[in-house]
Amino acid sequence: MDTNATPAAEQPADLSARTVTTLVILTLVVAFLGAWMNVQQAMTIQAPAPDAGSGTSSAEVSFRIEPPKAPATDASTGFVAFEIRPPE
Amino acid sequence: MLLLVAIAVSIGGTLISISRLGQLGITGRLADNTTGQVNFTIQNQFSIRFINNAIPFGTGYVNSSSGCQMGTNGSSAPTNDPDGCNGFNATVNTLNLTIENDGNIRANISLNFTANASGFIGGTSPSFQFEVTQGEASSCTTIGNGSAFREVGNLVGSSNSNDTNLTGSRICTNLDYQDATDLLEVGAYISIPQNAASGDHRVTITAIGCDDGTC
Repeated sequence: MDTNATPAAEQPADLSARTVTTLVILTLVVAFLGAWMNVQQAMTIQAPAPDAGSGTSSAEVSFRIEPPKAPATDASTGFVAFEIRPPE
Repeated sequence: MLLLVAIAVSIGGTLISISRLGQLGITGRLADNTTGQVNFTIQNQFSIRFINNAIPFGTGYVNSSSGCQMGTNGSSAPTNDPDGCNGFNATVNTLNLTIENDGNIRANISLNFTANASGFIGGTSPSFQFEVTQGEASSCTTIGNGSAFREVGNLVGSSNSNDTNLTGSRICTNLDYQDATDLLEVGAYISIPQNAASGDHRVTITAIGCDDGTC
């Protein structure tokens, strides 16, 4: 049996007072930031999108002018023929 | 001691957070009463459009020293003037440009033209006019420029209600948005002189809408 062993109640603390203080402050900061961000996020969702305020649309009026058609013309070919036969 | 303070602040912050979120009505926290909320938001939507965006007078030629006159909105069709207008669109007088307010707020409307009669038609003494009428009963509270056929781009006088600038002529104040009363008709009338140039003639009309006095 080891008679030199230190009783558990007499062992030094694992965390120093400074470490505990730091952890507590961090806990406070994180808790505050978490609550703040929750509220801000929820309020942001409520914001409506901006309204559109004006608009345009286009249309067209058109026509086309063609030059007057030229007077109708036509042509046809006839033949006048004769034949000269030598005297019999 | 500090640990107890930290625990207290953490619990307090959580309770405040839950409380405020509950007041916004969007959490799913366990209810301790029977009150519920259903929320929705209607946004203003501003939108105008031409549901009929073309007046095609068609193709033809002019064979009269008095020119060819054609119009929409029930005015003269080319067939009414067969000596002057040869060809063209025989049913063009039944057409119009139709503007619809398909948003959910009232709109003021003005028109921009890319050309007046000289630029659009050409030749000697051409005419290009427009007219605005209610598309449905009482669609527009006040019809401004164009309540009768007016020459496009013709300044009658300073601040005269009959002035029709090429750009920014207010034709309607308060065009309604309800389906039964949200249409506005724009008619056109042209007089083509005999010496107008052959080829395509086009003019673009832009309707500009606004919910204030900027158009």
